[in-house]
Amino acid sequence: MSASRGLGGDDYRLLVERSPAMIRRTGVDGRCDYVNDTWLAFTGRDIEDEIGDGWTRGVHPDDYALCIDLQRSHLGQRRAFEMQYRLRRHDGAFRCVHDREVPLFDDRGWFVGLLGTCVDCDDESRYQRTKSAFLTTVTEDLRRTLAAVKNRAAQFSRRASANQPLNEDAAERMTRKLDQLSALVEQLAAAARIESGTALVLDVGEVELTELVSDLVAAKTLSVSENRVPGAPGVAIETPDEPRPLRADGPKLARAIGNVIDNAVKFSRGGRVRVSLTSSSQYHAVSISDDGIGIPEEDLSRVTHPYVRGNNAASYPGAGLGLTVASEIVEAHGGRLQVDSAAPGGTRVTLILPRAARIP
Amino acid sequence: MKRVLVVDDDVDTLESLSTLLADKYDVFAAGNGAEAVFATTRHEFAAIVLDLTMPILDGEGVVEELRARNVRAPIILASASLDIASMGKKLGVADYLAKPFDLDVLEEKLERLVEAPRPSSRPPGRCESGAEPEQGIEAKARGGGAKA
Repeated sequence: MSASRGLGGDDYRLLVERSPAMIRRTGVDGRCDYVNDTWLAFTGRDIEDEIGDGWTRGVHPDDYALCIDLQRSHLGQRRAFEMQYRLRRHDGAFRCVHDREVPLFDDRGWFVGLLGTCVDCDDESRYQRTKSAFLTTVTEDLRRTLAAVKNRAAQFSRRASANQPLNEDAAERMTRKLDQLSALVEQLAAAARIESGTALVLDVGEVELTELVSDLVAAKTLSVSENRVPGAPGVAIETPDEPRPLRADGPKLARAIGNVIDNAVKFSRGGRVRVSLTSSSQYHAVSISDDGIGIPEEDLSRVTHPYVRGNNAASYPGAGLGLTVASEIVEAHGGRLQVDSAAPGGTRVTLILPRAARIP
Repeated sequence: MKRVLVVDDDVDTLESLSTLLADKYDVFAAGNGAEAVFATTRHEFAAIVLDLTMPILDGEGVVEELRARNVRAPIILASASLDIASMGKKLGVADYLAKPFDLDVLEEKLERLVEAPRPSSRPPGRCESGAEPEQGIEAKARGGGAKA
């Protein structure tokens, strides 16, 4: 059969040893009798360390029992199965591995064991976990905000039936809660767009950047004081009041800058959030800085990835999509988002926008 | 009028719930867990409506703190958390409500709890004698004191 495909024994050996998947064979006695070079390169160990029960020493202790039980039961039933477990890599890090095992029969049809192909699925697994955390956060925020609106509506309804006047301030606050609901729905829409790989479409017009940023800062300042964000005294704008005309999608640009301000307020730990605008012959730059918890260096390159949050951000509310969306909007305008930070010690996020943007 | 404590860090929820319940109860409002615990050192409550996710001291911390202080007011957890049912069971509270909820349902649950016979808590006023409530504690949104 091999001759008919033009492959010799060495070819087959190469195919198996250099396969991008890690391969492990388990004999009928349940002991490993072979792993390929890819497996050895992953674990960084010798073949003698892996055969027999040796390979199981690389399995994470919390996954060991399930891993062994699944293999034993399927070996007995001669059935294919799939499992995921954490396996120690050569650098000591445990990586999530997807292992697909199939029953192996020789040319005479004798059952000789299980053949497993394993791939490192840690990045995918992490992405799924962060996405799941994002969905939980947004759902809870939606429920919380909806509850506030619903209670307020009940209050209005009772007042109306008692012929009591409605409080204008309360009505105003309810409108802002509805704005928060819209923002949450926008987050879901952004996630749906990112998941489906759909490109962001801009609706470009004439925008006056100084005015856009000033209005945004005023709105955020009001929101901070009303929502009693713990320890956040407010947002200050430090910029000369000169017009900065720009061709851009105003609402999307406002969302990008707003997302960055919201992040700064959230992580400011009582410090003031400063927004500044500078211009050169080629660029306008909007800088938002805070004295908050900062972003650890190892997370800096990933903070604009979907659903990713800094390792030190777990106790702060949020879903990890704000900077992703901001970066995406700025890039669609031909610009870029620059993040400078050190943890601890604050963060500065700069939205750099070309004055003469070549927007597709 | 029976006294009820409403605890929520969302200003709008706190204000509207306090106002709505004020028709039937003497409502005290607390904007976080620490304010809630403090309020229980000054007053005895027939029931507590408690949010879960809050700054300073969260709902779970409040339940533990009140238990340690032998405060026995029945607690209704009212939260947007997806695992509110399991949290309710874990904390052993009297009842729970997933946000958003209908006001009628909250009123019904409150009425049932407030009317049910229960062992009395320790008497109020256990904090240092002569101590005044701290500034910032909204321990008096009672009787329509909160803005409509």
